[in-house]
Amino acid sequence: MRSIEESLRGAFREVADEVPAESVPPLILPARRRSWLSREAVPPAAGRARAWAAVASSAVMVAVVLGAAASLGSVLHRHQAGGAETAYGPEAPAAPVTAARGVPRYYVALTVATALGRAKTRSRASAVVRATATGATIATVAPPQPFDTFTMVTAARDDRTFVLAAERFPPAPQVRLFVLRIHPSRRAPARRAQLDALPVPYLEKGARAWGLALSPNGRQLAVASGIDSPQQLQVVDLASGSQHSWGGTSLCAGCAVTGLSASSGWISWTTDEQTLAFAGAGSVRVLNVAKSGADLMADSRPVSDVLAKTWPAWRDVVLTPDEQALVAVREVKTGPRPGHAAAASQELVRMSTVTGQPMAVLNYLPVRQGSYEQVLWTSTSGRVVIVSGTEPGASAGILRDRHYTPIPWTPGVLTAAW
Amino acid sequence: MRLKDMESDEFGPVGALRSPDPALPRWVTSDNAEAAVGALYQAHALPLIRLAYITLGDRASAEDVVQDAFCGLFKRWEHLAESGKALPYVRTSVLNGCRSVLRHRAVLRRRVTHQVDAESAEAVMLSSEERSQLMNAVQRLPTRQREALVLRFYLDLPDDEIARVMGVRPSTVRSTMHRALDGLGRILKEAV
Repeated sequence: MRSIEESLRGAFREVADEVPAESVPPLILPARRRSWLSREAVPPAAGRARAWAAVASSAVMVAVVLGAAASLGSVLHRHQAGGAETAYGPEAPAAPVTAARGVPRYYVALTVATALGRAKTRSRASAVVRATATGATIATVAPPQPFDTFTMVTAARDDRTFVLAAERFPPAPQVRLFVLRIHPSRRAPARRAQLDALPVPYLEKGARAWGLALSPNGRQLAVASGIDSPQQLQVVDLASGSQHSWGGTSLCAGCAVTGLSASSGWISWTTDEQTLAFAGAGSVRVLNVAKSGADLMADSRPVSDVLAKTWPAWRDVVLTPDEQALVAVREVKTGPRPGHAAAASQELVRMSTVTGQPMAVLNYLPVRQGSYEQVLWTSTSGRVVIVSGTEPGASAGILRDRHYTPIPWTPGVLTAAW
Repeated sequence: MRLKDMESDEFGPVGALRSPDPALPRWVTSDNAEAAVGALYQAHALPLIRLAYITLGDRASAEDVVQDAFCGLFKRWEHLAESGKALPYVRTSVLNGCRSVLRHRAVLRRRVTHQVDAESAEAVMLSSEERSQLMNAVQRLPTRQREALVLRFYLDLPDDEIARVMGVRPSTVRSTMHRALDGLGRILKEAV
């Protein structure tokens, strides 16, 4: 009998090993509907009285949210007057956001399981496909094995194609790029998202992806990679697999680039798909990807004045697709006043690439430690922008003509792409 | 916030919320079912797919069964996360899914004259004669006995856990295991 047991163990193991670890497909989850008054909200032992108390407190919450929503229109001005702390309240509207007109209907958010401020080491981010106006979850995709987390996301302009960078945690760090195609109208939730590895090889051993930008038609992918900092910029033709690399200098010398979270923030394509804009050497530069060459700084030209002499004064610099404006977050320091220490604040500005001068300050908010805005999407002219703040609001919204409208959001979103 | 920054401890402790599974990070709670189920999938998908593969002998069906099991977990996450029942639930779902596939195949076999498309794992994969005989013998056992063998000798689960997954008492597991090994010995002797 003993020998049969041993043989069984061996046979099962050999058959099981025919399924390689890297062959595990990604998990694709359906949209989940939370039951109103779920078990979490009312513990089983709580009884009916507590359930009614929960209903009553929910009603109070709704009233508070409605009150807050009613005053949203004036929030921006109160900010500029220094009245409130942030324009990004945690409240998300229950009804679809009408301001979402003209903005892509779906986005992919890299989401960890808790609010960012509470995230611990090696948080694993899944890719959650959501509707912009309602916040409804269309699908959730976990990183495929052997990868532990998604770190970056970028989108084509078709609102259906996204590229994600998946990373394996140390001691064997590894990065691989995946294309995610969404089909929101499909009935079966498991068929609403399809994740496939790109035929692009793994990045250099130990290197990380620092920037990712998919061209508007989804044919070309720009990847900034390096071990400790972005050291080279590659443009990959996704149809043919051909690659072109530029390097020779650090991409970010003297400029403020937000790094991992800024998937849309510091490499951007212009509408003609021939030009790539990036932040480097303290200014925003453009590179014609159709031309030969291998030296990033020599082959590119600046389209803005030197934005910063000291880090970190500028963040999330994005060239609008029409190449006429830059949208960027500028950090402003105010001197100490009697009884007050020096303070810093951030403002989102749209500036002209022709004059190099700010055309409009879109919003203004105080800086808290570890917090900043991300510019997640801009319209062709840069007049409509989607921005997110991390702490304390952990929210995102649409800025249109200086009017900010929050969109449904969750606190654990690292970054997102439209 | 940069992900790199989050790998430091600057944000301090993350609270004492109980993780549904010891293999998951402590921050995984029922607050975010998508990420929590995703993390559970990361940790357990491979052994579960292999379990289903041993039972079904077909990779595609095995992956489908596991995918469905995690989708089921995702829908019922609120009821399972905090009670630590998530992993047993998924294992049970995988076994139930395998039974459904096998039942469906049996129906197809009765209805059509030719063999169903799914090839058995041993027919395709086995290299040694001994292993082939053994797996053939395992396939001839009743479903419950086969499941008990796989849970014990592939997943190395104790009787209590097997009982939980199969929805029977531990004493039933022991008797089922005994009958399975007896039956296996008989089948192998007949083959010789």
